[in-house]
Amino acid sequence: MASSLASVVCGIGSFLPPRIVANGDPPLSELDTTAEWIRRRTGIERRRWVDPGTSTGDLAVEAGRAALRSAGDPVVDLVVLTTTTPDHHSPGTAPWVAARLGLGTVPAFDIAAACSGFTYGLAVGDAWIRSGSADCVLVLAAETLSTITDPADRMTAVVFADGAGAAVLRSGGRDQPGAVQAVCLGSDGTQKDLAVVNAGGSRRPDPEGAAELADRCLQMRGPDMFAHAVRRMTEVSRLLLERLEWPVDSVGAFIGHQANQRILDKVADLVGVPAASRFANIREVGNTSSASIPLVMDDLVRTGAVRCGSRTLLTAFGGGAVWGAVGLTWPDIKPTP
Amino acid sequence: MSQPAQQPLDHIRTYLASAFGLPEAELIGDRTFESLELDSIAQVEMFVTLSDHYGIHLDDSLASGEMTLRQTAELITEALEGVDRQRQESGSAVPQG
Repeated sequence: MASSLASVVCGIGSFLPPRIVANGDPPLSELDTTAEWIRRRTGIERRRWVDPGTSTGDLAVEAGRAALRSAGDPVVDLVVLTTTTPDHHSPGTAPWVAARLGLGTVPAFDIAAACSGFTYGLAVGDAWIRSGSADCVLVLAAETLSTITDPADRMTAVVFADGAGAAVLRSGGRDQPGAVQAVCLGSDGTQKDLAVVNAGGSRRPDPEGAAELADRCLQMRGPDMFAHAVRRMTEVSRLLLERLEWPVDSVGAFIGHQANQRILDKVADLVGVPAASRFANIREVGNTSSASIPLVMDDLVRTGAVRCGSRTLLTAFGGGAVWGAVGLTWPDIKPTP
Repeated sequence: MSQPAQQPLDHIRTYLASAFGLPEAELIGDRTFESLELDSIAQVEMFVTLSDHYGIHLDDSLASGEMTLRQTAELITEALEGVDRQRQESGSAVPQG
């Protein structure tokens, strides 16, 4: 029946670069802070950073390969890649990733929606499938934030990290486990300075790399970011629950963008999510921007902590400002070796 | 209905004790956030929480280390009075036949 057509999550994968940087390791140990201060204020104990020469696309390929394997290596007819740190200003990262994954000449493009990228990527994939334009979509979220982080900036250096996650969507029925039930997205461009790389774009070209390091890196207004992130993620989560007529205590899995454990806790508290339904792994992986939600989802597939079919609420907020929430049922995916 | 300043102050004290483990005995009205060692994120966190609780908008750019608990309570009271005024004005703005 046409009205029941939905996109269904049928594969999840992730990849983390091997280099682990703990709170007490250089260069973080050279900041005016302590490992304990970082842990208490962010919830982060360690994160992964790429070694020089590893790109966002490299991480995306590994995560994409894992997600496709988990989905049974289906025929993909669209690749969407969300990132804040593309391999190049131009071209986009998605086509080269698609080619390396052996996906031939499928449509492939990037989405720039900062830390909300995965919710935007799911929204695009969902719309392509429900419109009949695609039967199977690979949504990739990959970041190498360490490449745009000033190691001397305490606000960002202790938080940002690298990693990639991916989901495979296929066409199916709304009543199937993994089906996307609703999507709510939003933006407020008046807050474009909440998190910004000032130099290197067309507004302030820097072809010779003459700008100060701080201006070539992501700068963030931390307290303002906290306030906007909490307010917007709370609002959009409530809106989504209302739209789906899901009582908050019926949510079996709540996964928010892992900007900071304190933001996650505050949003979950304000929305009223039961403690047993809150899932995160920021302690181990830090803030990986758009990759953070699929990184948690992949962990949950491996541990089997969420029951198949459970109501699942994803929400994110990022620079732009952009935000989103996606409601789905937990997919029927078995961990792959 | 506007609420006397004491109610928000009590609420602030309860919130700070619960959220940050601060002893309630130390949470007197004249204490500043800085003296309680609440960082800028914690101050903003409190403003966001209080805004949601009371259904008002507290401008978190006003939060600062020098601000006292009583001043914060007064901000809440003012905001609540503003909401009351708006309600009354919109109630009296019914188009006349």
